[in-house]
Amino acid sequence: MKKGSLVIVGTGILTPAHLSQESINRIETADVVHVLVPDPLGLSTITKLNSNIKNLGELYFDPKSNKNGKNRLDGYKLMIESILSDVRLGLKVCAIFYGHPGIFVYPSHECISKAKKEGFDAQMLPAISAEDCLFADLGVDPGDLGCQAYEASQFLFYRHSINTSAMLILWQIGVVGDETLTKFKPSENGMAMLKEKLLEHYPANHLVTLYEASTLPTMEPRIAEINIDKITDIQINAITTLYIPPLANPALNTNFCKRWNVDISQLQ
Amino acid sequence: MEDKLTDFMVEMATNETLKKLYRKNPAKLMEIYELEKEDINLLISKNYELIRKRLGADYEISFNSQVTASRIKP
Repeated sequence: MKKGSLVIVGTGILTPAHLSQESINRIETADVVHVLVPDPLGLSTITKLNSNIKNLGELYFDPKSNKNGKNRLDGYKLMIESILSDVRLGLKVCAIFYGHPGIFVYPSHECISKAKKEGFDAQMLPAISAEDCLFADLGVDPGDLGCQAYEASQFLFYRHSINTSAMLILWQIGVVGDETLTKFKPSENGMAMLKEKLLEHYPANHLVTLYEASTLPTMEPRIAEINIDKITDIQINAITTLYIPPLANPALNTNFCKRWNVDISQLQ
Repeated sequence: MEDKLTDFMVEMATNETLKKLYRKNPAKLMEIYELEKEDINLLISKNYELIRKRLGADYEISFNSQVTASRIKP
């Protein structure tokens, strides 16, 4: 194994409350820490744990000046190179992302993959994601009827199979409909496209929830229930997630159960 | 330079007792922590957009994934 290593950790959604003991230890003992966190509480906490910080936010795509490339993907690539260049120098590198570092985070997975291919020790630690907060705050259990989760724009543009008997969670509503990766709000028709797509599967009066986890200790999570046909009329923010509850129980596969002598009385 | 409001928030994030005191009487607790009058009024207003701005939050940089579904090649 080459000298130089990479560990990728997540701050959780509310820092420092969600920062794990293991992550704290890895931040403290790193030679250098690369950070991409949007909340100042996170940055303040991390800076107290390790003073050798490199702020990846400076490499983020800026649409006003086209700084760091022509879209977000270019910015991610710069971040990957910044992190890996320190690993290649033989340093013990810790990279920190907001939430869970492996959920909706392209650069983290790319860094791990590239570092391993180049012969470095690379590891990702789990953390609390917005989805974890959603289950806790909405009081819903993905184990009840199953759970589907899609990036909102991908949900629009691809023919994903939707199971209306399981919950559906749509992420990054804040940039829904933007295939260019250059916007920081829904595209002009983003929410209208989303409404149309959902109405292919759900009735107009199906009650859905716009959800935002609490990002400050003084605030409550945003939990706004609304009918699907009204989702174009409500405020969408950068961290808004859409939760669509199941429409009906799944049909029991009686033939399968009979064939395998499953006691269906336990299932009804 | 340390920022009293950030430090107050960080401490409250991991201290349930402090959170309870805040819920009971936010102004009194913030005065004990010697927060600026402007910050006290801002927190009491519950205008989270302005509070985030005051703290320096930038949630635009929380978008970190792609739209393309192309990892599995046929």
